[in-house]
Amino acid sequence: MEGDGSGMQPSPEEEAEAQRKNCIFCHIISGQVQSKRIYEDESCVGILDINPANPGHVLLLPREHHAIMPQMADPDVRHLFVAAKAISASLLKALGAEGTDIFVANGTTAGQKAPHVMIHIIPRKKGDGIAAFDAKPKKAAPAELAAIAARLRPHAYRMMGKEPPAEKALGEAASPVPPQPTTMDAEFTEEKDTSDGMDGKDRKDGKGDDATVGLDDIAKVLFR
Amino acid sequence: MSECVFCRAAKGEIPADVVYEDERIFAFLDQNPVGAGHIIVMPKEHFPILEQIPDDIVGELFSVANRLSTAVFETLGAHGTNLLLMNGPAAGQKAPHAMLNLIPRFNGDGLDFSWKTKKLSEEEMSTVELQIKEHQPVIGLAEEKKGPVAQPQEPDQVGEGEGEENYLIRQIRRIP
Repeated sequence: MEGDGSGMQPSPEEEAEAQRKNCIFCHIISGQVQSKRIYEDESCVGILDINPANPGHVLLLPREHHAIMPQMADPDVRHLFVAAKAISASLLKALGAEGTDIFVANGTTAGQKAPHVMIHIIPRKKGDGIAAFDAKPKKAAPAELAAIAARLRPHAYRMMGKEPPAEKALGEAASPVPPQPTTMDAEFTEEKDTSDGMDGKDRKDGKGDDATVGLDDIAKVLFR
Repeated sequence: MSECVFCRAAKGEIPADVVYEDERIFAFLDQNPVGAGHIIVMPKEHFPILEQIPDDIVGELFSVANRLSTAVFETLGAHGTNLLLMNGPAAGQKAPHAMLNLIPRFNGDGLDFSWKTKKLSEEEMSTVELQIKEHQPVIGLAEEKKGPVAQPQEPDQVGEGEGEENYLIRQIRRIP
């Protein structure tokens, strides 16, 4: 699929093709670039990270190129984590690890370093000096939690193809949160409706069009 | 009989800010988040560690978390998301009930999950490669010799009769 050369914005397909050509992890998967492969099947490949957090740090890569996990087909996501579980079990046995961290970063803001979906499976031992996942939690105000949950619920249920439950059926929620502005509201901006003709082709699960707009933006902008 | 507090939350016995739930999966806001919108996604059934969760529930768990990522992007305007499952105390697991963290990320949020990389020699790398291959990861290896994993009396006891997974639990606990 070639562009028409008129200088118009490349299509998502063209963007994806350009990413694939330049993606070192696609080259590793195809064998063009060397790696230490410790697992593979029809849909994913597990390699040793050459810059590991700990010895045995595995990168588990879907064979199909996607920039971020929400763009993957759902069956592939499920399979990927079933493979991650098997690899985790193997690391515990093979290396005497005392635990494993399973970590995914979607977007550079989240720490994603390369434009190919990957799961980090990091073997851990007490005193290994890895502080990456020691983030300090902070108590949240109940009213703010209730407000965030109320915002998320309808979208969450729709993502699962279900109708959100009637709000009054959720007995655990606090009494209705008055619509006061909170610091949370100040930080979050609503998704703009930026219909630009993208038709959600990347989303194999056929979920709504507007979902793709935000995800493709994140994937494109961050991985030119 | 004491019961895992997360099991009780999943049954609705303890209040939670639920984001999504169905017959198998329960997703709610962490009351002590590392960042705004921090969601816990967990199986309703009690499993202490990842390796004990049956494959179909593993798939379901992460499928839900992945789709919730999209909801987070759309609803909260997040610039990124992290999925983090801390498997075993040495990995940071604090709760006796296996769970996954879905953490929305925003520019300037002050969170940093990066790690310092270690430099391994070629020989060290090859040694590790061989060690792993001696215990070649195989899907379904430790699978389904269940025996239901009995609802534990104490939250962090293991069900019986599953030698492979008992080994993994001991490995993770490293009881000297």
